Amino acid sequence: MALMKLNSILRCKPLLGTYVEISMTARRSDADLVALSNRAFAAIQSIDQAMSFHRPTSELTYINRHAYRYACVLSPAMEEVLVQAAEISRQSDGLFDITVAPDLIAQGLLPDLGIRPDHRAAWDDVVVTKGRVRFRKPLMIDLGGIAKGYAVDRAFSLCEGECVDLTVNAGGDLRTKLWQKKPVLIRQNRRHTRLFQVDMRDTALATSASYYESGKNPIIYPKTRQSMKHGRVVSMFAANCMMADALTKILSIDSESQGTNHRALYQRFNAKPMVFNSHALMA
Amino acid sequence: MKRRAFIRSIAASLVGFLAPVRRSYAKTYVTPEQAKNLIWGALDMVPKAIQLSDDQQSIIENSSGVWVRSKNIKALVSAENHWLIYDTVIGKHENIDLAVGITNQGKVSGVEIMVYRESYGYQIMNRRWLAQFFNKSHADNLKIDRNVVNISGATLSCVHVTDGVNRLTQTWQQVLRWL
Repeated sequence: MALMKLNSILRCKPLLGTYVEISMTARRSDADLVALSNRAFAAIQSIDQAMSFHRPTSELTYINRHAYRYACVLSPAMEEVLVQAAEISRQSDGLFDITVAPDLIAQGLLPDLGIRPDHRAAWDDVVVTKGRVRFRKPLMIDLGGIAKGYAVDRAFSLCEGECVDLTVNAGGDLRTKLWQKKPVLIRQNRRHTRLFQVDMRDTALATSASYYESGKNPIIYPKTRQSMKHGRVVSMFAANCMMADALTKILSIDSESQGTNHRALYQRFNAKPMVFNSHALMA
Repeated sequence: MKRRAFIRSIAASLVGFLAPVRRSYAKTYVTPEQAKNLIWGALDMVPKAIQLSDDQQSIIENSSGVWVRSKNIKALVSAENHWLIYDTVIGKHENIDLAVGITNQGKVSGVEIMVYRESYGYQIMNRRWLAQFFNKSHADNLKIDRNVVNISGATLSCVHVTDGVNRLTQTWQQVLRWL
């Protein structure tokens, strides 16, 4: 049987609070590509519904409301994300911390759920055992620094085997199959007019910057619970998008040293950092 | 001669060094026909042009909390009264053509972004610049860069699209369902 001709599809939907773009190339019919991309979007939508801080009906909101009082049963996806988040927090000595939600609420970046957290609570007060989570202090978790990358990974692994090339890009957190020598543009400023072109250095890339929140910075330094003041743009290449997404938060805090302070940490996770100042690539 | 070329090359490399890549950016995802097929499959639909009255416009604005920029609605409708609406959403930095499916029960059955354009901050304030997007066919796009596929950056918010979809469900509620 002759090989089918290469076919491709490019779609974009509003999900995860941003624009999710899926681009697929495969030896498949139009109908197959539509069905496959539908499944990928559905996978992202289910993560969106489970892990959104904004949705009152999400699994995350349920956990935030109840995990201090009793151990809450976790979906496999939520367990995977919480376990990974704890591992990154442990390895980074708390520089990555999913319990900074109260500080984001104080800035008006997240909605107030009316929960009164203990301000001494930190990542190690979130205890995951046997598919359940329990908080040791009243606290709130926000997965804004990791769930988007995880959603990209889920959609990507679902379709990767059937595609010759595949890219899933959730508003800048992206993963692409044939990444070698693939160019990518990195936004440098709020007006979107300055884009920096680099080549992909691994399959996944995430970028973090504060230029969309005028005067507010969603990157919180967990040790002081203060917003980071700089406006640097940082990117991280990694073997999966969740890791890239999470590590940009550490790199953003660390950008003063251009990523050198935690070089060993990035190497341990096999990630490659990139720091920009307003004009150029720094490291 | 050589000296001039030398100075020119120095000047060129200085400019290259100081100015990173600058582009306005637009990307086409699907055509209106493809969007119809993605949302409604092979369902038979016929075009229907609707003109909102001033009253309808203000009712929709009040109930959705979103400004109605154009009173012309471009839509397709099926015999069962399922709708597909083609719309343009204008955000702070972006300008988006989208297709929204609304069932005969008023539920959103699908949203597909057809064209995404990014713009300079000042252009969005310019009425003449805005005007070019109204009553334009899908084929009339701004510059499309097909070479560079992916952009990474701080997450863009899709709040304007969400607002636009709310405005269209209110348009169904107030107008389309009674047609």
